Amino acid sequence: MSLWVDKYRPRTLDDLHYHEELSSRLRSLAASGDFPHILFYGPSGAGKKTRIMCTLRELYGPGVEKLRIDQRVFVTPSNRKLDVNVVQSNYHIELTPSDVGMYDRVVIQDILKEIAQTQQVDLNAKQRFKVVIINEADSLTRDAQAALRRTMEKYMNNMRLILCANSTSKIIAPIRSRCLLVRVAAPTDDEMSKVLHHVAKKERFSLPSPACQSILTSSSGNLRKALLVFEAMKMQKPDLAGGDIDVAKPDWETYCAKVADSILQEQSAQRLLDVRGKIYELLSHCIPPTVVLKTIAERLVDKVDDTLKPQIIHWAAYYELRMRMGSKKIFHIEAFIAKVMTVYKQFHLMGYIDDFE
Amino acid sequence: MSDPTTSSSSRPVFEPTDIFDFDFPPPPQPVSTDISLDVDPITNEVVGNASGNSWGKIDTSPREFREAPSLGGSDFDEDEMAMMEMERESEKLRSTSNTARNTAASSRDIGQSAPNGASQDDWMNGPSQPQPVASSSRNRPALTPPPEREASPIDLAPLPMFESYLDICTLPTLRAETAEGKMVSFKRRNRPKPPVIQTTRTHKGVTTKTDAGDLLSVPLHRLLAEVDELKSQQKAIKLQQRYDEEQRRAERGVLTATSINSTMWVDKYRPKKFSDLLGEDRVHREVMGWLKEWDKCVFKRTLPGKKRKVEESENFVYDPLGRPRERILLLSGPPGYGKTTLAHIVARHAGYRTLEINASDDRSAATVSTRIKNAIESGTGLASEGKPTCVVIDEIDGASGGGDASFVRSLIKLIQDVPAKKKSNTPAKPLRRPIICICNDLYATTLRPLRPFARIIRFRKPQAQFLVKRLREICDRETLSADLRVLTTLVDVTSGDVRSCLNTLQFIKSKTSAVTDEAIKSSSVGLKDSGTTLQSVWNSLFIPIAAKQRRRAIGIDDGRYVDRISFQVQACGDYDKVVQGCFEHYPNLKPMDASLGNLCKVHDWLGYYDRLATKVGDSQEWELMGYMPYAITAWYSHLASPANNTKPTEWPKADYESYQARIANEEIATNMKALIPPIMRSLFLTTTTYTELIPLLMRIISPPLKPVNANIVKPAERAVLSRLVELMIPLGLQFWQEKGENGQPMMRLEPPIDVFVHYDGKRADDIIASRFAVRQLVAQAMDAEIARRSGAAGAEGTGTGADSFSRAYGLKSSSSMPGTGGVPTGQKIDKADLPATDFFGRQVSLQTTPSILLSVQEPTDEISPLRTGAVAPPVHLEKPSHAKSIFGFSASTSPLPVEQPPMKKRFVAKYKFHEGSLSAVRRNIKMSALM
Repeated sequence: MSLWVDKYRPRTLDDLHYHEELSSRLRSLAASGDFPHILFYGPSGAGKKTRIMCTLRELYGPGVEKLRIDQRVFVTPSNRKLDVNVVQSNYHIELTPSDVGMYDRVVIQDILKEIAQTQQVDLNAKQRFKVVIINEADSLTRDAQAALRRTMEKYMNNMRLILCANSTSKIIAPIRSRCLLVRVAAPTDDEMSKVLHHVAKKERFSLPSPACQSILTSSSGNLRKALLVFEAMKMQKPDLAGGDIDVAKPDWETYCAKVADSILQEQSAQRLLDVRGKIYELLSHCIPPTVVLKTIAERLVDKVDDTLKPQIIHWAAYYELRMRMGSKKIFHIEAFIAKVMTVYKQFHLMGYIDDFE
Repeated sequence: MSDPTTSSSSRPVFEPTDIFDFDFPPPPQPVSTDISLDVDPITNEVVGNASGNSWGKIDTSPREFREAPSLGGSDFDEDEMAMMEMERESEKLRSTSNTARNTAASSRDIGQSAPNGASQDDWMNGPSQPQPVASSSRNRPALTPPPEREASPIDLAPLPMFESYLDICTLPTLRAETAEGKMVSFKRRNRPKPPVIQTTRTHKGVTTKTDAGDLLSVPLHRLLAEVDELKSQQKAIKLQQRYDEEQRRAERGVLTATSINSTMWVDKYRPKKFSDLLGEDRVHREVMGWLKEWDKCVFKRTLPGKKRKVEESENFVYDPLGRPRERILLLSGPPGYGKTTLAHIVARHAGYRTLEINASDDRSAATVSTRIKNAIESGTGLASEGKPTCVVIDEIDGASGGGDASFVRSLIKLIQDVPAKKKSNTPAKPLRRPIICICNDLYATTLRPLRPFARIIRFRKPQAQFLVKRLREICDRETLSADLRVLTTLVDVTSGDVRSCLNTLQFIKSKTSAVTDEAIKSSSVGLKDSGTTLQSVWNSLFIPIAAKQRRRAIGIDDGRYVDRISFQVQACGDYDKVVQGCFEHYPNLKPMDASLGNLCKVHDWLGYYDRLATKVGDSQEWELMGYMPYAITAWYSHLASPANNTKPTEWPKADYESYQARIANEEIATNMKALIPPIMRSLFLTTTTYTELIPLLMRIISPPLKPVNANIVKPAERAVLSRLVELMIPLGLQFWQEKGENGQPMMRLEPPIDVFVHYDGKRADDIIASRFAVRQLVAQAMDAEIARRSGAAGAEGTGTGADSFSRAYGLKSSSSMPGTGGVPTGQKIDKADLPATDFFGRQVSLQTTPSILLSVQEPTDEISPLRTGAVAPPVHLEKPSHAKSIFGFSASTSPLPVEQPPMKKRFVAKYKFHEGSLSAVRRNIKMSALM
């Protein structure tokens, strides 16, 4: 018995709770026989992966859910050996570039070639091709994406690609043009509460609506997170009753909020140093720097005066761009914080704000 | 007109060599030196006696000529020199060695006395000639030596012949008579004599010792014509020579000029004695002491004092040959500190001959065996002047090559007395001579193997005042005016590099005769490319130079800091470290304005730097690297303040620490991800694992349980506990009992993903502290569950697709936890189940053929994971008694219920799960009871 996220994950396209239209389209695609390369994109926790698995099941039947983890060894051009754990079934294989680091090109090339050059041996398989799923396709390096381009066309007979990304902006145009783009939007609050209630019903208890509401607000369209939060709440307080129920929140979010509060409390070099320590703490807990910056900015926006809100958003965007162009993330997060401090102090002491830039 | 005394005093100093070395073209030099030697006595003599001005003038004229070599000082000089040269030239042509001397002497005379009337041109041209004539006539007796050498008649004979002519010329100079001490008979006609003699001599030179009688027979006009002709010839030759000379000089250019003092000052003033050495005496003595320790081995003599000291030292190893413990000396230090000089001097001082091997030599392993060994073992040969050899290996850090066959390795073998051939049983010849190695970089990788065997002596910067003093002495000796302040600056600039100091001085000397700040500044372009330390870069970034210091240091104007600082940053080279240090230090600095405006500017530069660095690193655009120092330099304008003096920049470490912590945490997460079922793995990608899964999972697995006996817990809590167990097992989480730091037993979560909910070392507030007892309770429940499953797994042959881990774990737990009671139960079930399977198999084959077919067919389709599929029907039928939980688990991961709906319909099995951590109550039930 696993986590609810997994336990109540829809296994077939019919089981899906929302985006009915998309489900029917996927179903007909799987049935049509000329299944294209697909690029699923949409916000985190919207159900991309679930839909991919459902589609695969539609394509190959339940055998696709028998996953195993293979350890593969790849040799980089510099003769370093990479051990990569690859999740695969008999019909598909999954790649996650972040597992591989900077050598994703080598891994992609190797795996694609291998799959593309071997035909499906299982005669009973419903499809002649295998599927390669690439998670986090937007974090593929440019080289790796370029390596995909030609193979996508050349080995169309034996292989289909399913890419999964948060946004298409980082996918190079040649790949976008070779894929069918499928957007999976985040579920609405209604849809999410439907799912939550469904889970509650299966678990044989009733979800009080205030609790449901607080889960929805804290997870902001991320169904995966909502289910985790839901389960955490259920474990912590089995009755789920009471007016103001404590929503289980990831620690780093709480911590980011603390950072934002301390920025607004005092603006000084010393405070900057304190905040830096906290940022380092967050980063060392493997929270991605962009997420840190964004979360802090959101919290700040919540707290400050209306006139300052555009400023903070502007600077958050500005410094996130800089961060993506640079390599030392902490520099840019701190630059953002220093900027916010300056703007905030200026506004509160002198009552004006500069124009952007 | 120079004073006679001064002229006479100055003459011996430079007259002979200077004049002749300079004037004559190189080819006839040997001849010319001969001649000059010959002339010397004469001229000296003349000089000695001379009191007249004219001589002084003649003598000085060559000096003028020397100073302006290309153009003669005056007609007179030119002519005279022409005569002299012509004479030598003609000598050479005739190569009459006999007369060479005489003619040379006489030519000199001609030159001197030409104005006296021998050649009318000169006489006519030189208006000041009456005077010289007078003096020369007065000095005439000085010319007597030639007559003495030669046959006197030659001198005497021609005189009457010229009498009339000379009388006309020299009539006014009657008082010359007084000078005649020797020749009494020719009193009256003495004056004309000298010219006559000279002409005759020239003549003689031409005609090779013509007799006096011949001269008489030749008419004067013919003689004069002959002289004229000769003169014009000489002039032509001389012009040609001068042309050639100029030509040559132009070709050789400066080379000829520098060849005069081609020795480098570095070599010229290299210390020759031990006491001359510059630098730390302690170091010198140490080197000397080490070398002296060899005396016992090399010279078979002992130094009483030293020996005692060595024996007293604790780890004294007795060496039968009396060698020092470290048989090799390694001198290290920056260039120009006098390491090589020291090695050579000390070796010589201690009575060795040195064999130097430096970077110019081939340095391979073969060198050790050939050159060094031969030199050391050959003993005292002829070449060594009876001295033993000390090998000095210079620049050893440049000896390339690693591995077994490298120079350094074989050197080590040599000093360790390792035999050259491994097989040979003959012991190697022990090393009996000292070896000194010299290097700049003590920590060069090539030297790593050598360091343990060597006595290492480090050179430090020589003290400035001694160095300045020595430089001052050298400047004095080289007539280069330099005051102490300038020299101190020079020493500062070169950071104590004696060699570069001397080279700079010599360079300056070649241009001017005084050392000035400007001269040093302009020549210090070729400064040593010495690295600056990070600390000094940070200091100069944050602390402006004090006014006093600024004035002292040359060429630093604080308004123009960019060049200075960017140079320093560049010299340091490690931009990333510099920036990291700045970044970690700047909030501690003083000059922060209240609006934090400075900070934003600094951060702009920081961002700029980071972008540059990324661009350089990612796309290898090294062109951009040139701008990076400036991005750092800009900090100065925002942050530099004298008050920062009190806060030294610390070595940046926060970033690295954070990085290490992150790596450690990533490792934990990776471990966890390796244990969770594959579907979870693909559902939670890297970032969502950190941001969603782990923090919330930690909350899920720490419910508010009370630590009570498992038997008396409330049903609700029991449900929570069982759910917890069911969650944790597939996720691969366990609690391990461990001894804490204070000796208290504690239950640790493994893999320790609880680090992700600990910020600032504190647990999040909303997670209930899981007490030891609770964890123990959970752990026991888990063990029991696993034990039960392992029993079931044993019955079925394998676990479900996901829990190969839990199977492994189960085996471990069943062996390690014998006391819980779970194991015996499991074993019992095991035994009970086995026949059941057999029995069951029969049963099924009897009743449901299609399902068997299905179960046979499936394994061929799907390979390993479908073993569950194969045994799936049995599971449905057979297991109700004890392992309902397993069924639930396997159902969730295997697709069987969905795939085989018909079968499910046919065998609808209903059973009740008897709840409890142990299936202690076991009943045997018939299959029929289940249906």
